[in-house]
Amino acid sequence: MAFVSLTFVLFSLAAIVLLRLAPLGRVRDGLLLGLNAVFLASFVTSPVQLAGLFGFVLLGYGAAFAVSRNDSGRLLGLMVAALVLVFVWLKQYPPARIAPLPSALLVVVGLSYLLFRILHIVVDVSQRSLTLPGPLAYLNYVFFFPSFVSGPIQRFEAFQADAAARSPLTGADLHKALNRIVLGLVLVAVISALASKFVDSARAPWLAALREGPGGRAIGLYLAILLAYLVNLYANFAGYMHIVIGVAALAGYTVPENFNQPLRSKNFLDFWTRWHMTLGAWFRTYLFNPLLKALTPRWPSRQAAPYLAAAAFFVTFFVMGLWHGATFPFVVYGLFLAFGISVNRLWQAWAVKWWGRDGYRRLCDAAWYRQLSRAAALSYFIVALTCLWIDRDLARLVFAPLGAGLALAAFVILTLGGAVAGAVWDAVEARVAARDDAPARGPAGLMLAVVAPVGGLFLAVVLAEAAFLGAFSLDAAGLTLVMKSALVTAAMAVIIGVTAGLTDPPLRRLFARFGTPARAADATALWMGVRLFLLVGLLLLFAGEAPRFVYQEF
Amino acid sequence: MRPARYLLLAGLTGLGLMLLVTLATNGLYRATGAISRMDPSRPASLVFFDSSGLPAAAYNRAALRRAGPQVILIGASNMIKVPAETVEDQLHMPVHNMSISGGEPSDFARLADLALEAVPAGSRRDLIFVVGVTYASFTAESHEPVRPLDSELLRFGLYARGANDRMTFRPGTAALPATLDLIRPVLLGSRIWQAAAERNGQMIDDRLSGGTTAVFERIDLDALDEVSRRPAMIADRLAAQTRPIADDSLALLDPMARRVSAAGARLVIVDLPIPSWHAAGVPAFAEYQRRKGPAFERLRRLPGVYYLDLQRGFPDTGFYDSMHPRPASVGLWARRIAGGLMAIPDLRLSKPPTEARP
Repeated sequence: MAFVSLTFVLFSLAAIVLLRLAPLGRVRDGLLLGLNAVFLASFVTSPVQLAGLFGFVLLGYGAAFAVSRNDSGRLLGLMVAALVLVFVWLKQYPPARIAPLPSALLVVVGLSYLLFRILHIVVDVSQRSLTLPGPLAYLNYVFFFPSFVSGPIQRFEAFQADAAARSPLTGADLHKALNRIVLGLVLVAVISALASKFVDSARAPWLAALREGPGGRAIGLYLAILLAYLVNLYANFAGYMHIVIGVAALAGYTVPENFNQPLRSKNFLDFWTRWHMTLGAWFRTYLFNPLLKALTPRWPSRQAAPYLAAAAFFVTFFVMGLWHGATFPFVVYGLFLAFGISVNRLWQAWAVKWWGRDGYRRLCDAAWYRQLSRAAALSYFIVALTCLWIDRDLARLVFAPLGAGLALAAFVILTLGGAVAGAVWDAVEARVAARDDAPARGPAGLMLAVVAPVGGLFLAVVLAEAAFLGAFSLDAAGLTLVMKSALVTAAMAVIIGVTAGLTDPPLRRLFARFGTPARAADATALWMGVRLFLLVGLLLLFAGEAPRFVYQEF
Repeated sequence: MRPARYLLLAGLTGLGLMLLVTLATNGLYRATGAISRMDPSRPASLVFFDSSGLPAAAYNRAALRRAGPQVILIGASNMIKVPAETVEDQLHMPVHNMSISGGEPSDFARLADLALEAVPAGSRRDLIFVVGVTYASFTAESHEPVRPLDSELLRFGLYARGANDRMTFRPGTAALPATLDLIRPVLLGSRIWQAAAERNGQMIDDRLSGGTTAVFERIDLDALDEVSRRPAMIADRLAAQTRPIADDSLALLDPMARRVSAAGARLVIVDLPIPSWHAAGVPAFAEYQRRKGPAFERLRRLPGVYYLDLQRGFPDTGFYDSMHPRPASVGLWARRIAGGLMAIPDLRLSKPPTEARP
């Protein structure tokens, strides 16, 4: 069942109503199990195809049961190893292909995230920080339909708390959840679709440019694809998370956030506390911390601590990279992540060593360093993402010496350009925030605050498209043609932006001037109706073009 | 705010806006006259649909919802520009053109199904399908997993592929008119966006490929020089042939013939003209001429199926390429088709008037 489909909308509506109305306890838990089963069934044509998944889940419960009876470290190690091996076999990673899986059992949707949930339970039960859940609670947790396919990775205790209690749904909660769902659908069905299309269109020209040899065109196209893929990935993943969180909230479950403004990261370490947060938290808890704990006794000195941390980061992020896939590009991706994170950690250690803590803090506070550091972190990540979208023909060229030079050039350009863009963005944002914090303005000022982001977006898109298409070097006929197209693109961008909630913050302030909170709330509801109308139009316009959820592939 | 009030206000606003836009769009649809006749070449049709005929065939079938006899032209890109209005003037009965670009016999059968779906049950026997074919209709084997017409039908989830590869309208045939009216705003929006996106996409592709943005110029098809391009066009035609002319390829029209005959309607297979230099340059044409007699004779044995040979009498100068009529010639095609239909006694159409000079 695709998230961006009428089927999922109807299924979610039914699930929300049923879960809200069902009495707490076994009835609601049983109902949730049924809903999870229906959701799971939508991925297969025959129950046999779920044999692999069910077998894995049963194995997980068996492992949890075993460690609940015996808290020996060896048994835990054995159970974890068994689960990981079965996971590798079910996913048919290269080493496991010596034992090929019957194709009838090959539906492994959600398996990667199942592994995380099951290991969390097994380890925590072994360490006695969790009691063995009952079978119903366990099945509901591992198969929880909103987050089954691709997370977020929720902790069992949090899930159980929601299962045991249910906060009433207020109008404000409803608005917040709907807001997220609308934003999520726009991100996935429209923005991600458009970005994905651009990436697909640009691949062939980039391949052609690479074959001609390194040059401005090859780098220019590479940068365009890198940025478009980031937009695609972020819009796709964050969009799905918005939908998941919104649907779960309406059903009475709180699912953790997976993103916290990653484009504001201070450095690469900080980036991983903001991007795919639950994955980072899981690896920190179940790999990084135990690894560091195991290494520290061997090198207990204070001087060794940062190097041990860097080593632990290296291993953790390499494994995290491999989790995406076990083919060569993902090995490279893992190495990229591992290298980047450990260099960042070592840099922190060395900087403190050279300049002292205060000196390092002053450096971090310097505007130029902040911008460069942020831009470098994001640029490094963007370049690393090449491994996720590259195909065989491109890989042959990119992973040759040419590729290293290309990647380095792209990194430098993105870092410098990103630093400048970041500085401009921060300045504009600070100015807008200062104006918003200013004493209440009149209606004209508030209307201007609503129109400004729309007008700004419109102008930005027109200028960007005109510049990209080289409009200003064309004759009158060409310029007219380009400007006509750019105006239509800009109009569509405005519609997309308004639907996604671009004008919501200034509108909220405008509505607050309507006299009573009740009237403001009514106006908010009416505006949501307008946004829903625009959303349905956009979804139908882009029907059939929503790309698959990128992280469903992992 | 209480959730129920919030939902009510948001829901009613959204629904109200949808209703308003639906009414406005359908009003515009009726005002442009697109509803009165299916004809992909008309400007009224192009407002809501494109020139490929695909979305028109799928979503403009309100024009077919009438009792009494109707003629439906079906074919590929060489039939798209045949003006249904001109044929209608000759036959004095409603005529529609459901041709689609790149259409193949499997598409023709699908188009016949779509027409039969839209026409009131009591009037299906009064339908006359006119399918235009050439030898090329039987020499291209499509390997696409989903044909463009099917893709269009599946686009909004309104159709499902059922048994025997037939497409079933999910809400049920009775709901067809209302459903098409409901999605009219989306069709208009889609058309506007498609027109913009196609042009935009082409410019972006040009730029990505290192070129400058192309300036699109209207090609005058009436003035286009096809003589100098003939060798290249013959080479293209030879390359496009993915299957030989054989009994099984000539049987591709069987499904359409059987379905139309089973519905009680009538089918006229029209052998359309191609330029003489094209016919001489492609061996498959001679093979088609040799085999088509027995093949079409077999189809003629089905109740209500007829054959009309219009290969001759069209000058080579009437084509702007190896297959397609110039804009100035489509009127002649329409009049010849109408004249040919009137000459088939069983169709009981009006007496043919004195043929106008081309």
